[in-house]
Amino acid sequence: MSARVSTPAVRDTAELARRPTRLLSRGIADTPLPVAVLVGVVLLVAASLPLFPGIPFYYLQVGILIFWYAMLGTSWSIAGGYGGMHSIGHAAFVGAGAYTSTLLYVHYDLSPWLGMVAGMAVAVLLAMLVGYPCFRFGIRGDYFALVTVALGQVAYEVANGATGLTRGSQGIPLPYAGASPWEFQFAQRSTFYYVAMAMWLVVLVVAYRVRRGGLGSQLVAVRDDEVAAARGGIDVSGRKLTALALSAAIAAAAGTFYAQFILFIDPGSVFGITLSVQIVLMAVLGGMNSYLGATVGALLLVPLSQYLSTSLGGLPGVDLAIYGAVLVVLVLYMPFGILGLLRRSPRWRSVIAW
Amino acid sequence: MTFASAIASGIALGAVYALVAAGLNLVFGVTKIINFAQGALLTVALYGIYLLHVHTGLNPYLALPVVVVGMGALGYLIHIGLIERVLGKERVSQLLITFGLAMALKHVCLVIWGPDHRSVNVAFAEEVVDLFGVRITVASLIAVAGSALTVGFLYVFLHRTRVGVAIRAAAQQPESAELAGIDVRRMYALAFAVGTALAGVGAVLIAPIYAIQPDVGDTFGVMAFLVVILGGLGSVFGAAAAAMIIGVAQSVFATMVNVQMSTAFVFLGFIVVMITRPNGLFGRTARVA
Repeated sequence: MSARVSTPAVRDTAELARRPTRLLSRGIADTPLPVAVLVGVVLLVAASLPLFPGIPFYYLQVGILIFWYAMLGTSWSIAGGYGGMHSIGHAAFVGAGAYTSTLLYVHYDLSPWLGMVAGMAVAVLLAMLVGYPCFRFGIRGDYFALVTVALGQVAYEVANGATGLTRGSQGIPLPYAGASPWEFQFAQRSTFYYVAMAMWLVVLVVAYRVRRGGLGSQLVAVRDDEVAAARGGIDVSGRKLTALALSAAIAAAAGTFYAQFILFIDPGSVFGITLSVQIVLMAVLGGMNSYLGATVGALLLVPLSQYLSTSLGGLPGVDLAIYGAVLVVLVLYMPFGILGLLRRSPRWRSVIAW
Repeated sequence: MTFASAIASGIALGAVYALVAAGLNLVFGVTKIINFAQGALLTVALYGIYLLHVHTGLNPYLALPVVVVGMGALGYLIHIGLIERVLGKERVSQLLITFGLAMALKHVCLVIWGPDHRSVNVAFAEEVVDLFGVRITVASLIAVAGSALTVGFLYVFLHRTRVGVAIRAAAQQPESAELAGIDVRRMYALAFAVGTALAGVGAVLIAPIYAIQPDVGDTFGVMAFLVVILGGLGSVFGAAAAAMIIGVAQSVFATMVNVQMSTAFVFLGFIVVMITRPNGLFGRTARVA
């Protein structure tokens, strides 16, 4: 007990009143009750959305996309937000997951659930392969971002060029196996909604636990001052590698989900640089330092982009042009993202684990 | 014989990479901003040339002054409006703002002109000449000569004119330059304008060679990065040499091994070089990040 000398409880109340921030935050337990109730209700409504009679599948599809992008953005935040590794090639991991599970499924009839694990392993391997030498030789900041851009391009070109394996730009259609959950196919398409929601929740919990745990604190220390962190006894490249591998694994799992949901993959959809940028955008809009940021970003951007691409009558590129403009405006006026607005309040800072 | 032609077309490709990279290098060297929008600006310039060609029938080579002035002005405005405001801020902001700009510019082109390929035909540029047994188009020859001339001009501009020296001073020692009476903010904007104008020159040179579509700038933009980083930051001739190496390597790989994989090959080479020789192929560069 005596080890925690600085626990606020043992200080006298007068000093506590003067203290601007508490030393130990309680994380989401600090959420104000009304907000917690509201979030609970929203989650319940979201969970029961497929049960509403006569709801068009289109709405569920938008919901699935929100969960999917939120998942990817959150995975990006673990590497980019916590660790300061701004990857602009995350699609390489998404594609690695999608292609690994799909190829195993199509050629060897392996269950996509196992394929998902295999895809995550491949993505982790890829992350190690690129990350280890980068962190070993001190490639960081802009240079790391450039390496990831190159990584994304290599992955895209290989998927495009290795036509014997991937059928190149023609893409791979996945056979529809009917209702067999073991094959990641369901009797009702709305089941995918629950799968996406469950995956998103798991990713959110992982990101939250990481941030609140030792890995997160060490990553933030590394991000803010690598030299000081190393002097403080943190294994800098080891921590960065762990975060990148974790991030890659989540992205790969999301890739497998995409392949099973859409039943068609091609290099442009899962390896494209557009996807890489969208992933970054989700996290940056919401606030990449928080585990919740990407979810907020996806909640805003996915419906916007869906609305734009349907209402503007198939003008290709409008949504992406606006994405680009949003990114520019955001960087100018709100560099910490939407949740960044809350970062000054100690209580909210603790809730969003800034 | 195909090997010789592969090298010749590689040199032509490298010449354009060198030009686009020179603009990037200048901006990177002066303001420490990685301009991801360089490729998109090339695309914008190409559509500008296309518009001029369609509406006035202007030969793209004669459009050069218009394009250079127009792109320079655009670059100046972009710097004043966007880049300057993130200069002292986080690296992420600096990285993402040009990325967002690139995305917006490219897709605005897509919205306006659609994904169709457009071309600007110049009759004499398509003729093929026989140069010591290597057949090459006039347009490619002009691209090589134009690029060499422009890079030479840039070198003279930066080293032999007052404005050029002021730009270099602002890049190397902003505080001292300020004390010496140089308007550093204006020099930054000017450097960005010149960098954008160089993309305009590149557009003029490739307009008769490549089909114009919204993605056209992507390859050049990304390749320009590889060139800048391999050639060494701030080194005009190092970048030119790296551009030649990349252009020839890509072209030879495409001819001899596999066209599809040639870009992947170049990127893979880049990752390897980046990790093993982080100071660039020729060393002697200062890391900014």
